[in-house]
Amino acid sequence: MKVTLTQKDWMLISAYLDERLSNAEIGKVESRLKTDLQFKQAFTEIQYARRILRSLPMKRAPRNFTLSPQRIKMPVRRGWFQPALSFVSATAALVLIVVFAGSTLLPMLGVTKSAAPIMALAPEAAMDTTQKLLGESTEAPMIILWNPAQGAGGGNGNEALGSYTSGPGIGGGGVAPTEAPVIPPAPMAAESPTAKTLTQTQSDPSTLILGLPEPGTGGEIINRDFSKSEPSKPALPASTFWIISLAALSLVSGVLALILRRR
Amino acid sequence: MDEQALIQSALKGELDAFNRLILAYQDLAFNVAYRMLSDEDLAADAVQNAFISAYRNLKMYRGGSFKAWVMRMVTNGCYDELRRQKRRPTTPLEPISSEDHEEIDSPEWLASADPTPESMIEQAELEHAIQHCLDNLPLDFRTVVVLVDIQGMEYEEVAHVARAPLGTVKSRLARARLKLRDCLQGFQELLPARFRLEGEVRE
Repeated sequence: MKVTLTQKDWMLISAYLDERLSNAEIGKVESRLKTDLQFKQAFTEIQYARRILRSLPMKRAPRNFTLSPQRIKMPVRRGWFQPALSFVSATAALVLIVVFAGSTLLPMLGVTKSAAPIMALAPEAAMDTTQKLLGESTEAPMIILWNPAQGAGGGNGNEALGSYTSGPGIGGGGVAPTEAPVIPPAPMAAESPTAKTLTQTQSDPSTLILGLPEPGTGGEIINRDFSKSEPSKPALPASTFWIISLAALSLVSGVLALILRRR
Repeated sequence: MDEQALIQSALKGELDAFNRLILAYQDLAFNVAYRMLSDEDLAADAVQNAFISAYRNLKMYRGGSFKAWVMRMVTNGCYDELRRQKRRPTTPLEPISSEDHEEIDSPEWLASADPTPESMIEQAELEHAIQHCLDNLPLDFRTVVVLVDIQGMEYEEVAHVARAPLGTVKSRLARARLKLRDCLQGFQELLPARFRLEGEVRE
């Protein structure tokens, strides 16, 4: 027969066996023991389990555990390093979450709110930018002048720019015959006021434009050392830098704390 | 010298006074630890650490039952050991059997009322069955049933050791006994005749 009683019944039986019930409860249990067969069986089984447990002999201590002065010396405190690393790791992770949320969620909210005004202002902004650029470039435009009679830049690529006068004309013609009169590079800088301006602004290649020289003047060569130009670096946003740094800090300190704890 | 006087002396730094308290409680502490850990060596280590911890933290003792306070140290030590075992489970290289133990000088032998070989075997089987059932109990239940049924401690003391209300202790005890009943019924045929549940209540 399977005994099915409530938890309260089991507690009642258990407490009755330990004599932890009030007189009223004892009377209730005893009357139920006389009438309820299931209750009686449950009581007998719990009593049996309790009796078996209490039959276990006391195990005596295998030795004395008394303390000696050497034994009670306070141990050297384990380093503060592990808790500190744990704290750093947790703090870095929290700050990382804040920075990440700030750098991704806040701009997203800002864009959705101000998208229309930005789009409306876009043409004006573009014009402003153009005017600004023009304003900068009109101050000192760089003009490359060349002699239309001679041409420049075409043909034999092996020829140095400095000797273009002996090279082919525009369109890549053949090498000029040796009998033809060689016109040396014209000292335009000294003769043309435009050229004077050019020499002053050579340092800024962004303003470089092509133009025609004054009649009777020769071309001018702008020598530029492209090998010394600085490579363009993509700018790293500050938030990305912080996210990477914090993630690395959190990860490294967390792993170190874990290793120290396991020792 | 009574217990309170020994505690006061120990609080003043007298190690001898504390050692007398240890001698009074070491069997009880070892028994509790052994029933919870099922290993004599681990139990001895847990008890030793508990007494060291108790001495160092004696200033934290705020009166009441000193036995319950010490037993709390012991059970906490056992919890730590069980957690450590759970984190780093180990497997013994050789199975440990009771035959490997020294029988002549064993405290078990000295404690036994009936030292005949048959009764010792019966006793060992009974202990094995009970320990197996205890090991299968949830830790909170095991603590309560060991302290009440094996050590005979009062509910109030157990509530102090387990840091649980009295009602919780009663509930845990009832449920632990119920689980033990179920488990022990599986060992009916293996138990000595005097420990078998007879007749009408068998399922």
